[in-house]
Amino acid sequence: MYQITPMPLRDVAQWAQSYELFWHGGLARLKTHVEKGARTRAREKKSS
Amino acid sequence: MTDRIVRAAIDIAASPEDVFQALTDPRELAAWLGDVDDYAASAWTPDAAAGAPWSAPAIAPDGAPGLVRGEFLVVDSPRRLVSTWHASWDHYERTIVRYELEPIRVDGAEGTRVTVFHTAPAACAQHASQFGTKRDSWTLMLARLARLMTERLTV
Repeated sequence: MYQITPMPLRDVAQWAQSYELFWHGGLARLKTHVEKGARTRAREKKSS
Repeated sequence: MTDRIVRAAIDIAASPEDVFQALTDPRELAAWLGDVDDYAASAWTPDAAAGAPWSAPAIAPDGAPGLVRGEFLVVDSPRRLVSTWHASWDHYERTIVRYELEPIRVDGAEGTRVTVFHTAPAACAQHASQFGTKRDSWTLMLARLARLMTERLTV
C-alpha cells in the first residue's frame, strides 16, 4: 500500500563510507610524505 | 539533526610544523593527496592564510584521479586547520574538513597525532529537509487514515 524510499539514509551512509576509505588512504600517504621529508632534512642537517 | 562527520587519525614521526606545512601548501597537498612522487621540498610556498583559496589533484575514493579545491577558514599553525572542501567526485558540494594536530612522541622522537574531521552540513541539511518532507507526508497520511477509520466506525 505504502512504500518508504530509503535513498537519503543510503546516500549518507555511502558518503561516510567513501570518505572513511578516502581519509584512511590519504592520511597514510600524508605520513609517508611527511616522514620522507623529515628524514631527508635530518640527513641534510647531519651532513652540513 | 546533527552534521554527518567522518573521523580518521594517524601518528606521524615528524614535527607538527612539518605536518602543518604539508596540509597548507598546495604543492605538498598535491604530493600526498594526489600521490605525486616527484615533489621537491625546495618548492614550498609561503604560509596559508584564512580566506586563501587552494586546489590540488587528488585520488578519489574509487581510486580515480580527481580534483579538490577549497578555502582556508581557520589557520592556527601548527595546531588547527579548517577548510572548505569541494571534491570533483562530489560535484564540488561544499563540505568542511578540520585537522587537529597534537604533539606526541613517536618511537622516542618528536611526532604528531593528526586527526581529521570531515563534516557534511550541506548534505545533512538536504537530507534533513527530505526527512522533514517525508515526516510531514506521513503525518498527513496517518491523519487521513485516522479520519477514514473514524468514518468507517461511525457508519
